[in-house]
Amino acid sequence: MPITLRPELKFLLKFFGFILLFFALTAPKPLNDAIVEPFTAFVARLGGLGCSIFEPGTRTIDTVIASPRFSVNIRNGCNGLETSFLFGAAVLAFPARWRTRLLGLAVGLVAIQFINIVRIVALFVVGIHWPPVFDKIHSVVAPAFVILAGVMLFLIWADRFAAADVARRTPPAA
Amino acid sequence: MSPAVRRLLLRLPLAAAAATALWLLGGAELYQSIVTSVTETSIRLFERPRVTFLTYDKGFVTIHRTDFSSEDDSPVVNPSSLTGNVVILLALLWGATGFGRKIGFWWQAAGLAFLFVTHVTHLALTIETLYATQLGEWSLVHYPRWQRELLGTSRYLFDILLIYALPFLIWGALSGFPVKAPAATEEASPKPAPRPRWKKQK
Repeated sequence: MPITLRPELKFLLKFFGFILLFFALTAPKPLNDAIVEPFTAFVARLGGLGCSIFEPGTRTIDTVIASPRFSVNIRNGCNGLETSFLFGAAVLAFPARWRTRLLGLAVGLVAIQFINIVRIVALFVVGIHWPPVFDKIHSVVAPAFVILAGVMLFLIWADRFAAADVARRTPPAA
Repeated sequence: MSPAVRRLLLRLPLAAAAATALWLLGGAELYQSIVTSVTETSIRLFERPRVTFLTYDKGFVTIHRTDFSSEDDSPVVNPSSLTGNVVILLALLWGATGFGRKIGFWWQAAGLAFLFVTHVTHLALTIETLYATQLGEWSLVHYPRWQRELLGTSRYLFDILLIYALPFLIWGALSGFPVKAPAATEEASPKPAPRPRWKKQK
């Protein structure tokens, strides 16, 4: 007899499964070196461009954004990949048509990277002007900002686009 | 834009600001000292002989071992990046109210208690990984390769993904999202039929 799960449990299990899959695809060192590190360097370059608007003379070397007054090293965990993975897992786990999912992924992932660049630039500016609060902003406020922005994007997508798919699929009760 | 999204756009930033203020204005210090104390008890529960002592001071957990020389520099862990996801969960519980079912006070407390257990696990994993991988020859002698790999991978999973996925998972489990997604339920379920009325007989 096939096991039927409640839809909300199915969503959470699928979401968690995708999270583990994304981890397995990027955590091993060869894959990390081939995918994550170049991506992190790319994010650092974009972040460096943003930082140079506020701090002339800022340079980016590999994953380090450096100016005479402050420097940050963009590492795994600062590159926005974790929020992208959460957003991707939630979109893929949500019951919707593939076209709606792909549209959500395309727009959402670009938006998350933009938000992450804003976070990097903001942290850089905080590091220059308010160094005593940098650690708290870096470890609590900034991650919450990016993750909640990702969750917000997902909920807007689910409400605006994907929920209509679910409604279309569900036959009205007689 | 649906009413639920309008509420979300207004409430989530406010809830995040309130949770951040609560956290930074003393909540973190109290919470992290409790996490440190429970983690110490948990580690010592499985340790033979019981040698680990943890002290929490000014935002840092210092790790002491009675079998190590007191002249050695004790390793220090910053727990704020481990426990900062409390802010994310509180913001979701207080701010994403239009999605899923209403989460009562005791269910919110249960969600926070579950997150607390994950923080104890995460800190214990961080300390065990430090023992297994960062104490040179001592680590190699006391931890076989498979244990070092397992601890390192588990800690990395927590550090990179679980720390951020857990608040969303807890909120999802408590709210029943996406079944109660407002647009889905509004559009999918037909409106109830009007109640029959007796026509007045002329």
